[in-house]
Amino acid sequence: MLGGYMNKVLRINLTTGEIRTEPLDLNMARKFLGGRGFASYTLYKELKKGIDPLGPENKLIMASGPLAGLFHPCSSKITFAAKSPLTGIYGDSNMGGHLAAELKYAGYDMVIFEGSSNKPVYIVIDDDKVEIRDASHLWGKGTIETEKQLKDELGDDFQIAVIGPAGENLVKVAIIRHDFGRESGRTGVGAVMGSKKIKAIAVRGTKSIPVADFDEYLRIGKEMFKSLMSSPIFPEFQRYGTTMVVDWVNEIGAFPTRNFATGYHENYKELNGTAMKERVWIHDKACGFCPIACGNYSRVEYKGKTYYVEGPEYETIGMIGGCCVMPSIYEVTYGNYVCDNLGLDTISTGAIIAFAYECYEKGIITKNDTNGLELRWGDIESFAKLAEMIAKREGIGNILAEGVKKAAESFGKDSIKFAMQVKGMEISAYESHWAPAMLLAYATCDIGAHHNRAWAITYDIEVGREKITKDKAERVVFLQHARPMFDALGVCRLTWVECGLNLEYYAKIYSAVTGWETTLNDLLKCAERAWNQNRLFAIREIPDFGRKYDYPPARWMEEPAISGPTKGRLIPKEDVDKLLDFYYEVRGWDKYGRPTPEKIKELELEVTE
Amino acid sequence: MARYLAAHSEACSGCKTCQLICALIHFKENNPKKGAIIVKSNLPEPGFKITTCTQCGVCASVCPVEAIYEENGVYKIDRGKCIGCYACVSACPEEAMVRHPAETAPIKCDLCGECIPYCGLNVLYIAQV
Amino acid sequence: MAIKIRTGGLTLKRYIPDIYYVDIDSPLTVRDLLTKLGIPEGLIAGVIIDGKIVDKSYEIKDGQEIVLMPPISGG
Repeated sequence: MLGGYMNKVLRINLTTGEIRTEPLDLNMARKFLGGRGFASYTLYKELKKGIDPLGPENKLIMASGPLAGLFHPCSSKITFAAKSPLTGIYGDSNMGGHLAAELKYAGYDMVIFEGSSNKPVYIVIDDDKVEIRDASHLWGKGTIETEKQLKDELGDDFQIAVIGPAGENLVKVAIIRHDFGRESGRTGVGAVMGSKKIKAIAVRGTKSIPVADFDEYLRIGKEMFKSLMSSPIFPEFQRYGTTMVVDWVNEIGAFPTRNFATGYHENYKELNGTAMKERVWIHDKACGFCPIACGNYSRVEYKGKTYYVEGPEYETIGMIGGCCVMPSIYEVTYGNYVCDNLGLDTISTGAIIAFAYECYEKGIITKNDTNGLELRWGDIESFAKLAEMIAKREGIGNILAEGVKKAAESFGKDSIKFAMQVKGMEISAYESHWAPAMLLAYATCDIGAHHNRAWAITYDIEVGREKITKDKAERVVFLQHARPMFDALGVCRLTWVECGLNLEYYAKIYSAVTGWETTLNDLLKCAERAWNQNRLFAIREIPDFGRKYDYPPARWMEEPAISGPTKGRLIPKEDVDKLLDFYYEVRGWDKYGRPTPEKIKELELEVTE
Repeated sequence: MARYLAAHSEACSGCKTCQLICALIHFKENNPKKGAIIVKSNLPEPGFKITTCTQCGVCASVCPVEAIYEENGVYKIDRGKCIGCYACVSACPEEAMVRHPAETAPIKCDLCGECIPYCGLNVLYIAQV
Repeated sequence: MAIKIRTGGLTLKRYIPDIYYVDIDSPLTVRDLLTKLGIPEGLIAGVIIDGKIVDKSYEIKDGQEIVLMPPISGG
């Protein structure tokens, strides 16, 4: 038995009700590690070209990783993946909490949900006992109430993932939510779960995860904890960590304000970490086995009622606070609660509503389109109302529920130029008018614009923001392997760049746990393999897929930033082309952005029709 | 003077590292459900609650086969002797004893202190009264 | 005057060790100190002195301990 893995995959067919297990494919484990690597491999192999992402032929993957649930810092990250209804290509989203570890304790490395049910159900995975149960009493409920009710029914020791009304209504930016505050937010995985009529997945496990060399594993795990916790700034990191980002991002002009028209929010001090900590924060909240505890549990009063929500994290502050220009942390926190409970991604929803505000301001849409609702920057009331309309697909919400790209195509009048997305997915919270490496990271991200694959903005600052150079592409490619490697292993990446934990530890502990002697380069190779696999998925789906899908929105290339430290800056299309040329070269892709036969052979990938 | 593992529950972030290291030390297993500390969340209401053994000895006093014994103020279970009647679990005033389906004997804290250094928020400590 | 600097994370490693002592002759601001050490200002997400977040224009006093926080990618 291979250590670290539970050596078992669970397959649940919602159409037939069939539930079966299969042994883990060791060749897949060797080549794709786990987590998002498993998802890349499985979806490419098992999905037919051209299927409807919201039809029964799509599959929803829930995959843990070989290092999840083990003793080293921050070891509980799970991946949900499917063909994305938002982008039409491979999509996934990763979340913390306790689910990744619990799934392993229950005895599984991955669960594949197939087909679709004709009535609402929830899934109970209780060690070897797996059931599909009726969920009609939960359908229509918010994420918080749903999770609470299932905890009451099943027990506190179940780890539960749920969807909200947005997922039920197949909103393309719908999330899967877990542990009252952790979200697989991106690429519309919640809509895929909703299309299968799965309201919730509850997991409980009592088993032990086998490891190959116990003593060596425990020694390395303890050393990783000690190394992380002995950083001279660990106490400050815990206390102030994520709260400093808002100030910093405004100082460098990268706060996505007014739908990315500028990188600077005049009242950012009302939205920053100090404001969050002093006005809404109640206590720290950690994911499984994490000493950092970057999560914040908060309270906000709105119209005389008290709401609890985990957050707001930086992305939410950026996308609701900056993008929609909210006046203070209170509005952001309430907006966070509204989106979370409806089951909407705060990143995409912030971008969509900001886009709607701008269209309204420019007269592209009017009161006639919004059922009389007036849309104004910084108005939390219209934000909350619009979020609800999106989640329920009411009125204009039905158009906005398709994402910012489809909405722009529907509204017309050149609004596509300020629809802030790549490949159909909304850009997250780093304004990149003057950050070429970060812009390149967004442009080339395999699932559509997302920061988590390559967070390259510090590199722009280090080597010079004006530079359009090959080393920026090299940096982006390296990050696009290193960061997803964490997702594949089932662990959090905050330990690395931010806390300074040496990347080599992961090769050492993976070797001790599995018994497979593995180098860091081997691990990074697996991540590169998954990256190319996802590119091949997109090419198989979309015949002309390539460079033209890798451009950022026109706003970044044609319209200078309107204020702040980056005022007047933009990155013209010819520079973007230069960056893409460098990038394809570094990746071993041709000039259209397609993996060359040599690259495909080197990575031992199979290409199928 | 009595010593026991205590917790500042109000500072707990619910990461459960303490449960995992506990099971690793005592069972050599990656299985936090075999940890002798109980971490519960109140979510969606704020806060976590940690339950630890106060070494009060009630468990030993109710054990019909004398499988629980005292050593330097710490109560330990002789897992070979235990018959799995769980009289101790029901009697524990703190509800600090853990049952696991794969174990006949319940699981309780033996005050080894190994969990303490791995708590990121310094929630756990040894109390002396 | 002697100043102790504490920092961490990988981004700043090529500029300064995690714990660093520096002698300065005249009063100076955090911004001046960063220039002196050759650290790009944009790579410092926050400065903490005596448990308080301070601006980069803060004037450092003798014997103070300065914490330089690296940027963090927020989720």
